[in-house]
Amino acid sequence: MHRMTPAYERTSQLLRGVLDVCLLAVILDEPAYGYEMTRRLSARGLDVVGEGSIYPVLGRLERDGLVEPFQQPSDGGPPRKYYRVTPRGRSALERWRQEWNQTRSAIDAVLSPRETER
Amino acid sequence: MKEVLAACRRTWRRLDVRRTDARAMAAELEADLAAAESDGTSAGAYVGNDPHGFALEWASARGLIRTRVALVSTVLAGVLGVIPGAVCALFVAYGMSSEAFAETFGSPEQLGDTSVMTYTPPSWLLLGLYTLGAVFAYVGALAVVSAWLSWRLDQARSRTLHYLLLGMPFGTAAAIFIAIVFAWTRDFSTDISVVGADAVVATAVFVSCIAALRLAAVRRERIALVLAGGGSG
Repeated sequence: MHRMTPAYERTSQLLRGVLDVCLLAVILDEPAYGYEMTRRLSARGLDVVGEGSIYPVLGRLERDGLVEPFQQPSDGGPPRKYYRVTPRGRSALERWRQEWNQTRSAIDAVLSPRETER
Repeated sequence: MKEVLAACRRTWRRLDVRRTDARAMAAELEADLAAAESDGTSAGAYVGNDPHGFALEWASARGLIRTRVALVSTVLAGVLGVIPGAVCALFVAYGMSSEAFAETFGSPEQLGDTSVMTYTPPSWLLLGLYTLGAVFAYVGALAVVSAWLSWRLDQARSRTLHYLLLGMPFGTAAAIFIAIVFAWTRDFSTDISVVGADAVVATAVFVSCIAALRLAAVRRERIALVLAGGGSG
């Protein structure tokens, strides 16, 4: 478990704000169940996300019709609940990507060393 | 893992999440926790150190938390809170006419050939005690309803308490007024049957007041939830 340092807390807060976008992105091409999503996030360097926090976000995405669940047989166990992106979810992801890029560019401009030296 | 799942199930039960939804969430979580544990992540680390908060947030995000009326249990909680204060006041009022009380505080009165100690409590004192009992009942009802709804993780708890806080004084006043009128029609008799009937009448008014306020609070909460686009009725 991660120690709750101020830096970790700040990073977690940042990620929580974009976790819905990240979840849509990691299941865009291939549906996944909850834990598998955390693996994919971790593989892309987002292992700082508290795994349990994805479920409420998934719940909201499902309620808003951006993802849809379906059952898929698992190896030896009962069927698992998988999530896939809906057409509405694809549109939302595309929009959020643009918003993120704009926000990131603006923040980069603000935080750029060259800008702060002036 | 079992402890985490049990904690989540308990929370969903208290939230009155539908059994089918709770079972589905528990099955999903159990499968993921098993996978996480096989990768070396404990169930506690996976959901965080607050499984109750996790379960609450998840159910809330999915819109599974219903705003229940829970009229009977809320009214029962209110009545339970009323009892200590009301019973204390009634015991004092009734005890003031007892022989033991008359022996201590009464004055001798000649009845035929014998002198007996009698004590007739003044009306203002009886009225004061009834009022005091109503105040205790009011505070007690608020406290027990608050504790009960808090334990049930009730969505309309704050609104219910707010309504009770503002509305119960009127209900209490109505209960006192009707109790006084009832007692007056019986010449403020301290006979147990009269006092008992008086208590029943006052309690009935109080119960109706709590029920009406709870219904109004839940209705308002549901409207607020619909307007906010969250939760389910």
